[in-house]
Amino acid sequence: MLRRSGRNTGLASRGPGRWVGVVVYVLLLLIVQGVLSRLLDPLRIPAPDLFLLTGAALAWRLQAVRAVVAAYGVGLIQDVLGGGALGLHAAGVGAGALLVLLVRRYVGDSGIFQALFTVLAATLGQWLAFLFLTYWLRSDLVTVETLRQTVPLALLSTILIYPFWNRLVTWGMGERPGPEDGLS
Amino acid sequence: MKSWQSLLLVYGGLLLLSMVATRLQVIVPTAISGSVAPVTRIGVVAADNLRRAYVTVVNERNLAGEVGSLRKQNDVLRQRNELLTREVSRLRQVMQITATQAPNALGIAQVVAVDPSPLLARITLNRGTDDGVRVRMPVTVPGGLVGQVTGVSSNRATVVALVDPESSVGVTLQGNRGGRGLAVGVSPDRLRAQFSRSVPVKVGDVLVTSSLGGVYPVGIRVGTIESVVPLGPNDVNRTVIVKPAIDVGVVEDVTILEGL
Repeated sequence: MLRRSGRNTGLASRGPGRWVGVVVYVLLLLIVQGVLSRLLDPLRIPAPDLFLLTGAALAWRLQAVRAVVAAYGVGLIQDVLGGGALGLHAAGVGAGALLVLLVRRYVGDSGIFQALFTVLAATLGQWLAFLFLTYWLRSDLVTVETLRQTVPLALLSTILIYPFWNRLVTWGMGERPGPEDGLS
Repeated sequence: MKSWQSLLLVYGGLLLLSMVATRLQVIVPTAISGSVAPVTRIGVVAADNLRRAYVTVVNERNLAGEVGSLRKQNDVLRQRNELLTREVSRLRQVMQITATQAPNALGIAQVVAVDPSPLLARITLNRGTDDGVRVRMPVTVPGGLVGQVTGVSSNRATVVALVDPESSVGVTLQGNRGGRGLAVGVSPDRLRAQFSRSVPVKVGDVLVTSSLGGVYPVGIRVGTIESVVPLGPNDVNRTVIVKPAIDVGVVEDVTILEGL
């Protein structure tokens, strides 16, 4: 039941079913992100960023500008839930979605490399935004140690969970359109 | 190209928004983030339960391993305890024998073989000349006399038990009641002793070794008179049947005494 028949050109088909899927997806996003964070934090392993993957999924499914705005919104929800400074994760997820749009535009492969580049681009965009905001705030938000220790593990854990999470995304948001559909 | 420019413009605007928000340290009211707490709590509780389940499984596995290890250790200790108990028993036997029978105990020996013949009563011990065992040395247990060494090799000694037909031992009545007799083995498990007619022997009397023969220390229990054979008109001695104090068939550890 995780896969819907037919290809869509945006989020899942219109109607009540679409919103049920989205609501269930959001609930699962909150719960699974909490579970993973709770399980991996004691091991000093950064949990995979499911909000970032959600932003990437939106970048694959929506028209470019909408995708970036929606991803920014997802990051904003992450900020609200985290109780931290508003706008930090929003900028990160938005930047991640922006780079995923590049992958969507230039990577034709639909297999493992596309998945790899998607996560890589999303993570790279997110941390570039973090770095920029760190510089902007003149704070120690991101340090060299963070870049050296946290980023590789965060990237790895996000890559590992991507295939599984992508199936849930497909169920919640529907199949993604062709590589360049909706980009113009 | 134009679309990418507009895209960058949009993101630039959003980034600007973030810059302002983070600079101004805009914090969301806790009431808003708290409204989704029940949902996030599900994740936390589920994760905690998962972790506890994992820890429990790991602990149980460790405990199972520990129990197995302790069982092995327990088996080893039981075995060692058995050996030590036997050793203590032997040492007590030696102490008892040196205190009650003879002070010159050579040492403890174990019965390693028993003569299978139903007519003979001989046992083989695991001590020999290397341990100082010599022929004619008495062999006893705390309960009484077993016999004497009749053959010895470097690490083995053969003992003729009292009930062997070739065995003879000088006996007297316990309690210094006098009388001197000679007891010989009678197959399969009795002795026959002869006393002079004047000795007042009766059923139930206990016989101990006497100095007759010069082999055994005096006073070691030999057996109990089971029956007194009626005197015939020409008998010069009184014959009694003696039940030996020691059942050679069940003896495990014996004490070898220095000969007189």
